[in-house]
Amino acid sequence: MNSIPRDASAPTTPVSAASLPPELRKLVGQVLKRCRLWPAERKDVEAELAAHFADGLAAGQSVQELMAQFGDANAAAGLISRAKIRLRPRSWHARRIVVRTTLAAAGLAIAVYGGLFARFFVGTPTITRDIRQEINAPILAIPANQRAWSKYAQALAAINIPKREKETDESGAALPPLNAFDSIESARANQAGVKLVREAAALPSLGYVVDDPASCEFVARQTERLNGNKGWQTSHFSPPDASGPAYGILLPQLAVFRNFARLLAQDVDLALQAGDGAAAGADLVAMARLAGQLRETKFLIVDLVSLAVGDLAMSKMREVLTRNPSLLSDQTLDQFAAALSAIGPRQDLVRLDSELLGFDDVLQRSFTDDGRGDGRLTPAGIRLLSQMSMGSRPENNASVGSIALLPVAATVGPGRKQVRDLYVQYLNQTKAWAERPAWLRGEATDFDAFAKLSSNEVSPFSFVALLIPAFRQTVFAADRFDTSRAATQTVIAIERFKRRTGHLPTSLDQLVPGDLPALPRDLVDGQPLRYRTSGAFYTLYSLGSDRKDNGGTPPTTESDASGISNFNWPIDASKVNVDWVFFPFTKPAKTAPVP
Amino acid sequence: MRIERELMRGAGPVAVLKLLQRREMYGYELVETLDQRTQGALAMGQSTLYPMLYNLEAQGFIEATWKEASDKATTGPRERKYYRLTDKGRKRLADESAQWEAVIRAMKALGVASHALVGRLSPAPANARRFA
Repeated sequence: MNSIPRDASAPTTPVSAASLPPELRKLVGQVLKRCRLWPAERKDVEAELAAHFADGLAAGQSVQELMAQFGDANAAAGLISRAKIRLRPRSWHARRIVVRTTLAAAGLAIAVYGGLFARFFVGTPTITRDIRQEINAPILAIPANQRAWSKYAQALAAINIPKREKETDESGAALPPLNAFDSIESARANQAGVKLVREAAALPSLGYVVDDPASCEFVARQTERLNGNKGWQTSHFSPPDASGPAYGILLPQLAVFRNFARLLAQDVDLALQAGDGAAAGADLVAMARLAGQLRETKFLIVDLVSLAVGDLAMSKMREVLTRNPSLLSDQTLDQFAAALSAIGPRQDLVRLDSELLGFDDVLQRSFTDDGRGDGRLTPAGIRLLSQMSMGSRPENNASVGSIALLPVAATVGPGRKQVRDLYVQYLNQTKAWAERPAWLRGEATDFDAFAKLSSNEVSPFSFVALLIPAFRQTVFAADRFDTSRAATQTVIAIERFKRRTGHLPTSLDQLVPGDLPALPRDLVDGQPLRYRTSGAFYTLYSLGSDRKDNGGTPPTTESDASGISNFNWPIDASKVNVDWVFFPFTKPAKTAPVP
Repeated sequence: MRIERELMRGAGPVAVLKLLQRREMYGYELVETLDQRTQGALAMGQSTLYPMLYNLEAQGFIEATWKEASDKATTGPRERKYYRLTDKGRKRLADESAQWEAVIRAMKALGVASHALVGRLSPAPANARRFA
């Protein structure tokens, strides 16, 4: 017998070459049709089946016998396919395993992702706390006659833009309109408003109801009137959204109080010119009380504005005591010192805990609630996060990839409890850092751990990054205010001592405990503020942010004055030789003097 | 008597290997020989035989070659695929045969198998076709 290699390119098919009857050809064709084989494999099977039937016919078997012996054609096709596939090379089998494994893994991943996707979109937040109601409830419980806001509103309505004595300058050019709050003319023209502000500041409570639509619109209209922007403010005014997130709460009273403080400061100048101690004293005490009243609304931004108003009051007090120390009565000095103390102790100047209220509101609007303080991120939370992100850092828009992973992140990523715990952890770390004396505090390296939260990737932790205000800066603001307050109360104590004894104290120790409860500490090194006397004059100062003792040399420019008291951005000690001088009061120039 | 499918799964491949032990055979020849030598007990159709042959080939127990052959049963030269046992197949056959002998002895001891079945395979019936 000769061994002949198969010729796969033969022009006739094996079935036709075997001259099989139609029934057997059909049977072979039926089997081949269901075989999932390569062409060469199919040809081999075809040839073998054809040869088998040819042998059977040659042996005398009938077509029917051969068909009956064949068995189930469909089953045969499956068995033949599987068996022939087993004969394929190992590399082919290896590739098939890889492909099947990959497809299975992809299919599983798609199925899992689909499940997570569906679960993600099913999740909805449950809003259980009305933050506005929580803030306003204690305010509304205060009797109306003890709430100052309505009187402040009267004052605002009574204030007008003063007219200039001359509308043009010497060259005939038109002068710009005066501001309603920033000039002596405005104080002179608005004595009725000044009087109302003093009366309002004397009431025990501010009584401002947050997001009260009438108050918000009123302030918008008055601001438009006093800024001269005809129609702009009211056309751009949007009523407060009582159902919106807490971080959207409008606080128009902050700008109002800043303006009132500036107006009162101008009135102090007017009183100084006129030698009117009663007016100057009333204005100064009112400014200090304004700072305290503002704090009724517990938000960190309110605390910061309160400190700014108080800082202006203290600056004016020191100015008055510099220019005309006998102008103010003892009672005024005592009332002013008391109003400064009432603002709160050092640890309460910036109430970091107040931010937790707003953060909890964001969480309840973003996560589901499992009733145990935990939950997963929802599509509503993603929308909220996007809204918050777009306002702060547009370059942090989430990539498509990170958005696609949100359903996975919502399921396996940090949940509500973990995000809140992180926020509280940061809050508590900041508080612990802040409670240490400034001169012992050192660098806040803990904050670096949160730098990664401000990445470009969207994640539940982004809430923490977005809603953590500049905690460190607020602590510095509190330090600055507290030092300034201690210095101002020391200046007042020195004035009281001088009035009582006829001379200045030789050292600050002489003020304790009669005029001061304790020595004022320089936040730079914890030592007492520096006190230098020269005859009938004295200088009281802190080393300032450059941490150098320059003998009480005051800054001569606004820039240096700002820098020497800014401990977040310390002044460059190699470029200036100044100190943070509290007394005597000096008014630095807006620009550096020409040498 | 036809053998049940599960038994055929075990017996069929061993029977095919045994037949190929003596000489190479082609598909039709295997079917007819199995049928005749076992009085139909191991009769199987092409739908069973060929998948079995391909599996045995994939396992390396047998190998196949196309040859042109002519015999008294054919008219003129025709190509057939012949199968023969490999060394691996011989070893496998030896292993399987030993197991079958053990099973038969066990069944005999239990009284399931008759004494007459122990020993050599029964000879082919007188009217069996002879293959070249």
